[in-house]
Amino acid sequence: MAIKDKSKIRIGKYMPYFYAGASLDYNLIHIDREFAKANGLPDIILQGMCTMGLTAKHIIENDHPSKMQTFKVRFLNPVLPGDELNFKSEKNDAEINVEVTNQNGNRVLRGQATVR
Amino acid sequence: MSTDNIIGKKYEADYEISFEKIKEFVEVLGDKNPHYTDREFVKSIDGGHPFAPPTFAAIYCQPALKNLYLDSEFSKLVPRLVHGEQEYNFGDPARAGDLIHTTAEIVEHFNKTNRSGKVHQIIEIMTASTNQNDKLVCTATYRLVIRGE
Repeated sequence: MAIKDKSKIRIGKYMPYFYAGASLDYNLIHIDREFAKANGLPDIILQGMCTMGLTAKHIIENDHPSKMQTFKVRFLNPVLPGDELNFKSEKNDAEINVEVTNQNGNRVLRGQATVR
Repeated sequence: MSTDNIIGKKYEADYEISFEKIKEFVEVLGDKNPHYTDREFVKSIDGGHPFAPPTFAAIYCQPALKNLYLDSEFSKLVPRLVHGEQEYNFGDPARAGDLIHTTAEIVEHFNKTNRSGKVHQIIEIMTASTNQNDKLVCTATYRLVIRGE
């Protein structure tokens, strides 16, 4: 069993906009504060797929991307601009369990990957 | 508002992966893996084009999903939609220059009451993406939550 607990990433103020441009995800809850609040959210929230992409980066590092065979995650709490995320994973043979928490210790993502 | 008729709705679209888009995507994620950005390094591995990172699947699936989001029934739900769960199974690697064909189908739609008594709707979309050689690149399950008022 190997534990990796070293990556910390601060989500910049403009990250939802940058990720929207790069990923084509222009859902208004990610880019329009009034719209997000009118729909019951505290602020614009980061695309879940962005958090998942950052988590995949934590798992793969500089290895060949084909090492990742499956990857599933559950989004537990919204990620807001300014949040600081901690990535922690535990590897048992081909299975990796990963967890992402914010600066308040709340879990924002939990996931599993299988690797070769 | 009845949306019971959305199960089985199916859309498809093509997406051509460009090296420039891969570079743009990994730059935003701060991902410096050379398999994505170093053309010469990747050529030295197998002679092929740079790889797309696994979650680039969000991009090549996007045109098919966009067609779904524009659907007259489904589009009414989009303002209160958040992403609940996401699952990927990867096949052949996706690479710059690949032409990816994706089908997206709504496979589940049901109500779920949370701990505070709010009724949310859960929608599951399954996608299947193949490349220009008809090889399966990725299947995915999107579990979306339409938050109750």
